Amino acid sequence: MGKPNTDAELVEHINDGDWSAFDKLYQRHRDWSYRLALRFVGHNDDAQDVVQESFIYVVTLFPGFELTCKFTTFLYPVIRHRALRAIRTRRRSLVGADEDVLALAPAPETDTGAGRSELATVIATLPGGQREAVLMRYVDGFTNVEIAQALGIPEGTVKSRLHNALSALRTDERTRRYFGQEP
Amino acid sequence: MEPGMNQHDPIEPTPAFADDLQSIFGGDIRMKAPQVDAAIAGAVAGRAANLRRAKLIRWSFLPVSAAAAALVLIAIWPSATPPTPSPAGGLLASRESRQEAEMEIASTAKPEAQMALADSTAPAESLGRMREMAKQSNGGFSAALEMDALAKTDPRDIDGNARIDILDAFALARAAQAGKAPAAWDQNGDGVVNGADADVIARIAVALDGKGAAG
Repeated sequence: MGKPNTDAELVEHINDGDWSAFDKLYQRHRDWSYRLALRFVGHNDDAQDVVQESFIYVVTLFPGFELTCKFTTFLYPVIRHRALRAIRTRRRSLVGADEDVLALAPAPETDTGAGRSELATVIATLPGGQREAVLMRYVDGFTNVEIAQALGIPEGTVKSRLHNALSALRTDERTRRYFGQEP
Repeated sequence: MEPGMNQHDPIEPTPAFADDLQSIFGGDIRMKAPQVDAAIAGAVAGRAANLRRAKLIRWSFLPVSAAAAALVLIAIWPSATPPTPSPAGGLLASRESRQEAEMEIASTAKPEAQMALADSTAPAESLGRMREMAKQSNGGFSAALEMDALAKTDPRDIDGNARIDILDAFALARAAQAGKAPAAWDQNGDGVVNGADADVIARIAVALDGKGAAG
C-alpha cells in the first residue's frame, strides 16, 4: 500500500492497523475543527475540549470506519453535537429563542476591522439556520450537498436558507457592498 | 467556485465576502493545545493496544475453544447416536411391545387365535399358542414374529429387568388392581390375573432368598 495522501486513504490505512495515519488525519483537520468548535462555543477551553472529545470519538470508530463523504462533512456534525452539548452544560444563553440557534461568536483573537465588525454584526442577526448555512458555505467551503449531508437536511432547505440569508445581507446597508452595490 | 454551489444565484456575493467572513471567524487561528494532542495520541495508543490485546486473546483462546468444542462434541456424541438398549431397558421395552403385540393379535388374528389368547392358562404356553395362531392368521404374522422374540423373556419378569423379585409381584398386583394386567400374567393358570398371581411371583422371589433370578 502506498503512502496515503487523501483522507480516504488515511482512513483505509487506519482500518488496516496503521495508527500513524490517524495522527496525520488529526493534524490535517485539527485547526479547522478547533475553529469550528470555537465558532460554536466562543470559548478557548471549551473549544479544545470539544476537539478532544470529537477526535477521541473518531478513534473509537476504527477499525471498520467507512468514510462515505468528505471527512470534514463527517466531522462537522460530530463537532457540532459536542459543542452544543458543551454549551448546554455551561448553561450559556443562546442567541435567539430557538435551541438550534447557535452562538457563533467571532474568535476573540481576531483583529476585525470596522467593515468586518459590521459584517459580523449582521451575520449575528441572521436566524441560526441561515447563519450556519452561510458560514458553512463561505467559511468552511462546503457545497450545498455537503451542507445538506452534514446537517441532515434536504438540499432544497440549504438553498432556501442561503438564499434568504444572502437576500437579507444584500438589502442591509452595512453589507450591501459585498453584492456589488454601494453602501 | 466549488461545484455544487449556486452559480446562477443573482445575489451571489463577491469574493471579499468569503474573505472577510474567514477573517472574522478565525481563518488563520491554530489550536495550540499540546495537552489535547497528547490526549488524542493517548487515546489512539490505547485503542491500538486494546485491539492488539483483543486479537491476542482471540488467538490464544482459539486452541482452548477448539478443545472445549471437541470435549462438548465427545460428550454429546453418544446421546446423538441411537441408544443401544440396556438389558433392563430392552426388556421393559419388550414388555410394552409384548402387550402391544397381544393387542394386535387380538384385533387381527382369526377367531381361533383370539380364543387361544382368551383361554391361555400358562403364560409360556399361551404365548406359544398365540404365536402359532397368529402365524396362521392374516395380518398377524409380524406380530407373531415379535412374539417369538418376546417369548425368550420370562413371563414372571413383570417389570422386564431380567430379574424375578418382589418388585415383579408389586408390579403385577398394581396392574391387576388397575385392571390393566394382560392375560399372559396369569401365573397360577386360573384364568384370572389377580393378587394370587402376585403371590406366586412373591413366593418365587422369596424362595430365591431375595436374590432374584435371571429372566
